[in-house]
Amino acid sequence: MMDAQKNLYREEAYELLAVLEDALLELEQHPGNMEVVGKVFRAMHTIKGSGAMFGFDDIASFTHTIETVYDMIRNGRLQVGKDIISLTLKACDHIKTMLGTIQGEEKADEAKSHKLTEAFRKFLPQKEEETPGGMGKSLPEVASDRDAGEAGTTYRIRFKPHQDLFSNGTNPVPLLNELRGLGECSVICHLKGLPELQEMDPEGCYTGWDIILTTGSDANAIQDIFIFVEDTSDISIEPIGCILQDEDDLAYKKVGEILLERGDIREGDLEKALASQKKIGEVLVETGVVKRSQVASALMEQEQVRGTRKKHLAGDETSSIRVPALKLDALVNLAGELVTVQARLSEFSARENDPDLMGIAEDVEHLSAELRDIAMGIRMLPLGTTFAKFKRLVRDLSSELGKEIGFITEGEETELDKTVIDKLSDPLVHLIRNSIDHGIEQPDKRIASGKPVQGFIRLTAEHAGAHVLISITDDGAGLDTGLIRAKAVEKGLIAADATLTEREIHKLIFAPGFSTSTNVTSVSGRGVGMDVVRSSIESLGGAVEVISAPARGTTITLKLPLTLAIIDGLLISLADESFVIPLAAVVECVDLTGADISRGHGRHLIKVRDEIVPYIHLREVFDTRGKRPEREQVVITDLAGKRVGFVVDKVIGEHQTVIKNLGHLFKATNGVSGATILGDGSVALILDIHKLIQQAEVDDAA
Amino acid sequence: MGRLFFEDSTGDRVLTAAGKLTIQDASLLKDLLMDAYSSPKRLLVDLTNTESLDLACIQLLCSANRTFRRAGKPMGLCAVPAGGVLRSLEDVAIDPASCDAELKGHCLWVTGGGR
Repeated sequence: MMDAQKNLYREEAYELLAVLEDALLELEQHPGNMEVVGKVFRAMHTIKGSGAMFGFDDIASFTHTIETVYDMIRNGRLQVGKDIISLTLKACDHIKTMLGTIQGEEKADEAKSHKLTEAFRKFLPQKEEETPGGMGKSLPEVASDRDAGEAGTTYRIRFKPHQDLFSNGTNPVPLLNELRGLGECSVICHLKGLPELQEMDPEGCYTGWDIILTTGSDANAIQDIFIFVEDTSDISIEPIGCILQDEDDLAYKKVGEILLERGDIREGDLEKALASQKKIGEVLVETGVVKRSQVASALMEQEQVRGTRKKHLAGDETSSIRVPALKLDALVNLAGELVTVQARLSEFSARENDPDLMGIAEDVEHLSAELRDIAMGIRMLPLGTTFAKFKRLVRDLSSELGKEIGFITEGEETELDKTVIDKLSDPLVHLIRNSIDHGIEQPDKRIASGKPVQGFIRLTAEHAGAHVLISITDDGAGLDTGLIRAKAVEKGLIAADATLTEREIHKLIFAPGFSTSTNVTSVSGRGVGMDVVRSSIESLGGAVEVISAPARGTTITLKLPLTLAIIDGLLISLADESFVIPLAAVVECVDLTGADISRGHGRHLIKVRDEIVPYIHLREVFDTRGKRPEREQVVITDLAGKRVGFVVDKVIGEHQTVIKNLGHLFKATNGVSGATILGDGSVALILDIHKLIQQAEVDDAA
Repeated sequence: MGRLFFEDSTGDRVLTAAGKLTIQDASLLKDLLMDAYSSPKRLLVDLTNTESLDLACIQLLCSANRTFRRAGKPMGLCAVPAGGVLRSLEDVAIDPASCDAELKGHCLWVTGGGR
């Protein structure tokens, strides 16, 4: 049980660290944004509080000082600067290491914790060490504070300064602003104690306030705000609660009840007012029982509590639960199995020609399709978290290389299958590192070429049918076509006199071991990257495209399938075996006649719409026995702009393909990426056309 | 500190407040308001050049509005509050609903005193 809780804490902490890094980078751009400061504080606070709760005292202890620093920033007692942000980012890295060592049950680097803590302590005056909440025995309080915060408690605060408040130089406005900074806050001022002008002490305070505050902070934090006016004011802080049990609670209390609870009216006043059949607030004001401001204040409380409860209820409706990815995989697998069984049922019912059975088969078809879509939908995750990680990468690398780079992300809400997202991170790191290192020029070069000193990298995602397009654009120098060509000739990738378009030359950067960089930096230039990117993306059933213009920059676009669990396939046959070709790569199907074969003069080439297309004979690849049909068919595919045909006996048609792994035994099988079960229960292999083409090229060269 | 002075206008006394009005200006503000109270002329307060005003000054103007109205003497603002004055009122959370029943519809800050 404890292990499960520890895992839960670790997962939550990693998520919070991602939020934290994002907030810190935003804070670096907008140091005055108190909302972001609050976000940083809350994330640190939760990491600390939960850490203490689950027995991770080293993390709780480490984050304590950082939390204190951000508490001071939050309260306007310390200015946030690049030094604090950089230090906090280092602290985030250290917490990640500490979380990692929890997993390995090793001891974290205590010396590093100490060094970082000392660095944070330098920002604190001596006495701040005990705040907020202190350490050691006060840790359980932190946890309960967090609980209150998560629930979003609403407090009714009454603040009535004594008349002599101004005499010691106190201005109540900063106190009100501090309360406003704690959460959703409604304030109403009461001037009912205001005397006639003649009787007024111009330097006296006659105003009071009712404040309704919904906040994650506890009553102590609110009390702290009034610490310097406690002796010169009447202050009451009362939790009025906001936990919603059911929708009926939305009604909250009536205005009369609130006024009674506040002590503004007596039971008798309420009964009389209720008897008048008019709006209770109006009656109470008209009869002079209360001032208009008191009724307004009660209405404000009613409105805020109702609003908070509505939000809470809406939050409950959209709240999420944490499910292990393996369980989701199992669900998708089962949905796939159901699709397969449904296909068998449909085929059987059609064969039996029984109307009742056919009706049932149709219903099962609808339901299984719906279940499959929902199961697939659950695995879809927004790209936002992945994108957020790169902000830090751009910040750190650009500063390491002395470049100024702005990072823009768009389409973070675009969703992709979890498996695709997991495998996408490394290729994106390669591409962004390349843009930073090779794309964006040094500031002096940018100025010399009339560009702004700050370059930019834009990372975007958008849907395009059954695919998602992810683009990385920079406004850097663009690809050097001449240099790429020269390197390609030098490496023997192309002949010196080869005629290539600019686009074809740019594609050479994806060739294995290709790099034009003369300097190998810690960032890039080793020539192991772009080919890895290409093969990673292609292994996901995607494609990579590059567009570049000299001095204007480069855009690399990754085209990825929405999911890897179910694909649209083209079912084909070789003798009595069935195979599936991913439909996304299929351009068209043409017949292969005897005349076509003889025109090829022994070479596997076919002329399709005036274009010579090489083809691969799948019968030869899979060593298929039996007589070849007189008229074969060629499935023309397009992979990253390269057209290749696959000769098959027969094209059967489109097929929704539930992908099954082949298992370890068939791991080395070339040219096959998986299998699927057909409606009649037979197995069809899914072709890995990228691997088949690669193998054919190798065979040709040999 | 702000600047407070009277400007003569046909039939009205115009109390002009410029700059940042703080508690240090409160005594003078009260004296000038009392002076206007004893005059039969209508009082107009010009806050168009006021950058901000603190609670002490806000209280005085609210009290003056109430006192003038109870005595049947006309008082108002030259213009509905804007800019820094509006921000100062928001800071202290002045709400028209806070006004007494007798001032309903005559809140100095919303209607300019209903002049």
